[in-house]
Amino acid sequence: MADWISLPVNWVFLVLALVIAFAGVKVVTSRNLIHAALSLVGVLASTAALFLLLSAEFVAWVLVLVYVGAVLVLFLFGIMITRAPMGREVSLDNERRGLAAITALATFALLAGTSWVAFGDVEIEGVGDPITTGDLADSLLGRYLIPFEIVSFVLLAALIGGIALARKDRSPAEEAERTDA
Amino acid sequence: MVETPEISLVAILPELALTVGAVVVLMVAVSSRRAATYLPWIAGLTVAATGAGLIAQYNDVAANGFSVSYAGMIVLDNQGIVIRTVMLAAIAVALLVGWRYVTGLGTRGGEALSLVFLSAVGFMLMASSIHFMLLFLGLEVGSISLYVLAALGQRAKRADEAAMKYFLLGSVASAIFLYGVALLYAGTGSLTYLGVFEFFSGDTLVFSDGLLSAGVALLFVGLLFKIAAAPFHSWAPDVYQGAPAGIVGYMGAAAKIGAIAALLRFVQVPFQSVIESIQVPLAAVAAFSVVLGTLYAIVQQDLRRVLAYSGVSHAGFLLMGIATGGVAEVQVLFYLATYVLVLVGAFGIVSLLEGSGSAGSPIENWKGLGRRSPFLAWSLTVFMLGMAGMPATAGFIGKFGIFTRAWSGDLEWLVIVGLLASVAAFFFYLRVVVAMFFEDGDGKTPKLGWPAGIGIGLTLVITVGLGLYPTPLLDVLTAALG
Repeated sequence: MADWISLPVNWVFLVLALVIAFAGVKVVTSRNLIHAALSLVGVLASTAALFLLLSAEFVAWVLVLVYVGAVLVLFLFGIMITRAPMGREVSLDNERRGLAAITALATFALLAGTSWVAFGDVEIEGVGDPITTGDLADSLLGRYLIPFEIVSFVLLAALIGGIALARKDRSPAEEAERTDA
Repeated sequence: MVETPEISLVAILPELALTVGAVVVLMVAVSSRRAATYLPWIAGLTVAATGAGLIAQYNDVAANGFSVSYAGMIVLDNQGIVIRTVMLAAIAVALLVGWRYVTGLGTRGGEALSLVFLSAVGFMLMASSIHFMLLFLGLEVGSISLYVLAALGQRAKRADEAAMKYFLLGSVASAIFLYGVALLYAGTGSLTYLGVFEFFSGDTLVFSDGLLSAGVALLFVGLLFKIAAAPFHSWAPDVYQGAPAGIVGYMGAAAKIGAIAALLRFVQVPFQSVIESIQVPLAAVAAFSVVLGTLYAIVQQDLRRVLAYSGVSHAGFLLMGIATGGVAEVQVLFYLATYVLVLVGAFGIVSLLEGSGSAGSPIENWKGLGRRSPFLAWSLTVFMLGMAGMPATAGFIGKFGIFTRAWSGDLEWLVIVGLLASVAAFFFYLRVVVAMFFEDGDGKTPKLGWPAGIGIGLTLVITVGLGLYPTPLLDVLTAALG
């Protein structure tokens, strides 16, 4: 235990983990959508810092750029543009909170427990050299070529879905006009 | 220096054809004013090109044997080809019987068509993947496309509820699956099927037992959810009832094909040497699905919910074959092929009666259909008997094959459970038949167009044909897989 405290990296980890846990709980318990989205910023930014601790620099910055930078801003825009309730709201919760909490705790217990049993006394000895963006690019276009391509299908399907669902149907009259034009 | 993986176009030919088809459909739908007239041709061409790709693959395997490409990600073997052929057949029949759904969507028809193709790409990749990451991506491509398809129909409360339920629960299942992959990777240090197989069959002391058990369990739960096996079936009845009738048959079929393909490979390669520890839970899920699906189907008042719960029990029968540990692949694939076609056909008839975008189909609506539309009533009767496993239909041969394999695989108790459930199942399958022929009612009279007629006719021929004379197909399957 003394070893554990003497290493500064463990302190950093502890702080990050506490922030993630606290902000994570805030995301689901907050009664204000904006606050929930902002708490998610805390979760994702701290997760990015965790990746930095593991010297996965590129992944950390991708997390910041894509999730904190783009996805969350999109969330906030979405909340503001649609007529979602923005002030203090009570209707976000329902009476199944208890069940949800039990499920979440059970999942946590399972994952934490199995990891603890498996790796509880294993010491992480250094995390190796930082992986450069070049290495990542090599493996993306080499070994992971097919998954890399398939990810674009996931995006395509989601994109089609987003557009098709959000688009307003033209009325038959407008449709006829379009065909004549 | 980049190591280029061995690229083999022939290994992904069917997926390529479908991708091109999906993109062309999208492009035509946005750019052409007369898109509606082109869509049937593009769809037909895409299906034909995919079929040609499968033939090329078959010839390649016949000449060179099975091959692995893309740095150990994709395998080209006969099992994958058979599953993809089943998938293609499901698409072809689903598009024929559900074409009204595509046209009924108006300007969204192109999107629906391209999503059907994209989902097929995802599930086909699941059949040929031998890498957990690629498997997950295939699952996601397929599932996301299906979520959108479920939501594309009319803006009705029940349809929206079904789509939302499918999306939320499906996403949770994908997350569970991904947790499983992560734990498995933490435990074995490998993401390839072969690597996991070598880890388990090596004599190294497994030091992280709990971690691996949890990982494997989560992995299976994620897939069992997708095939709607009990107790992970709660989404199925609502989705089958609420999603647009014209596409829900394909949705159920495609997800089952992809997940069963993956489960089959699981017991053949990565978890082959630990099959004893997997067999009991799998058999338990199979028994539970068969019993629960049958009992719940009996009390349903809506044909679509009946079909959903019967899907739960069919998932149980398929798992029965998988629990034998990969020796029953011929039987499982035969069962899968005949079941999904009958499912698509039956939902085709539902959509003809109720309208392609409809939700729900109370048994009440089917009363007297035997007089109003004898062809559809008789077709549905044959499909129902096929699902029940009546002799002289393909369903009987499928069930018989699975039972024989399970019996010789020391799962006698499971076979007895399955037999009892099969007998009880006749009750709910025949209830709609009784309603159609022996009860009076003045519901809608469906209009049968030629594409739907061809689709239903084809399914009829296959169901009865394979029931009376299954030997050629079984011989081909045995020769290809044995």
